[in-house]
Amino acid sequence: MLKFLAPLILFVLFAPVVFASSATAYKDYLYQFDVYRTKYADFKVAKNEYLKFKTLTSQTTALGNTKAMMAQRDELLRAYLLLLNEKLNENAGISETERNTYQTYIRNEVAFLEGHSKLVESIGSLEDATQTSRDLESHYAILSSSMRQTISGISLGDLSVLAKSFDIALADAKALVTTNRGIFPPEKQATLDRWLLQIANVRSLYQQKVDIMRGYEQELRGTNIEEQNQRFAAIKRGVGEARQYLLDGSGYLGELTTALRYQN
Amino acid sequence: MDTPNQTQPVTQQPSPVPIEASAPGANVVPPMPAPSNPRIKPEIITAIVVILLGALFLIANRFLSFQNSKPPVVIEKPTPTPTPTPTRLPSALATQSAFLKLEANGASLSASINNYVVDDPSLSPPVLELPLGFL
Repeated sequence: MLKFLAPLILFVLFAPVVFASSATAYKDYLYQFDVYRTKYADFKVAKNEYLKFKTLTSQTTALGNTKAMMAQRDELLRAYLLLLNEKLNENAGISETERNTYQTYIRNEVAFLEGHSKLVESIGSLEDATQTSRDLESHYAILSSSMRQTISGISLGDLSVLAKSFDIALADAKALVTTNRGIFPPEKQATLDRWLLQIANVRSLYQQKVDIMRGYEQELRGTNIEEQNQRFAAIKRGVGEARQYLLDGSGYLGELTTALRYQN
Repeated sequence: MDTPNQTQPVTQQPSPVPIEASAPGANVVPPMPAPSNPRIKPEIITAIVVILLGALFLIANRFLSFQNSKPPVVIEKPTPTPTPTPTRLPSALATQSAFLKLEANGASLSASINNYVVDDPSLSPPVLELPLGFL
């Protein structure tokens, strides 16, 4: 009895903790974003003053605010990557191989940002600040592709969970229709078979769409920001279309269930 | 030969009219008396014509509106004979546990798919202004 209850007890105890991790990470990310907005506003004011007056005081203020903004920017990006990491841990639809791949991307980017933060601390002039910022700018395409691949992977993982439930329901429906083949009149039986075929077709269309989106997700790597924007938008559209196929299929399953309920 | 007393000569001169002595002012011809029929003034004739035209207009308008305000012809639509709703007999599966489980799973699946958000806002990456703009 205990060996049946133990997994249930563990799930009840730890599932809230797991989901609380991404909720906590999201709150931290929002907080870091608020701090970043404040520091960015201060940086802009100081920069404009320096560019206008070019005094030593304005230069010193601009340098201080620039360093603070750049440090906070790195902190914000790190918080966002940690949020993605928590979301990956919670997603039941991603395979272990995929999860490891995405988490490797995240680890690499977190390591880059930590190194970049150390460079920001050692900035001594506005020229240093500009050069250090350019390091991040030149790396940003890789950072962005890692983030977007992870987001795409999470979305496809969510769809995969829904598709698994769909497959279970479809298998149950097929078993029910096959087992009780002699109960219904021939015309009714033909109707039930057509519904099953319709549901299987839409499931196949869903799978084709998801396979295409996985291909797009792989192509995000090694592209510039503009191409990433286009591919990422295409992936989001494709995820929406795949969801619609599942929704249509569940509707047909409902029709099949209603047909099975009645003799005529 | 001339016939006695058959014709009189054409150029017989008329007998002269004795000239009577006339009274002074007797040459003026007295004016003719005014005709006894009374004449209607033109303004009155115009007024009568206008009134007659107005009356004709009112009568014609009344007549036309009477024509238009005829009650509409009501066409009665035939009421359909209500047919009884066909009763559907439940199948032998309706009470089976496998069917009930399928029904519950189907409803749960529909709800999950409907609730799935394609574009999760919590996953949107931060939009950052990267170049500093000093140089």
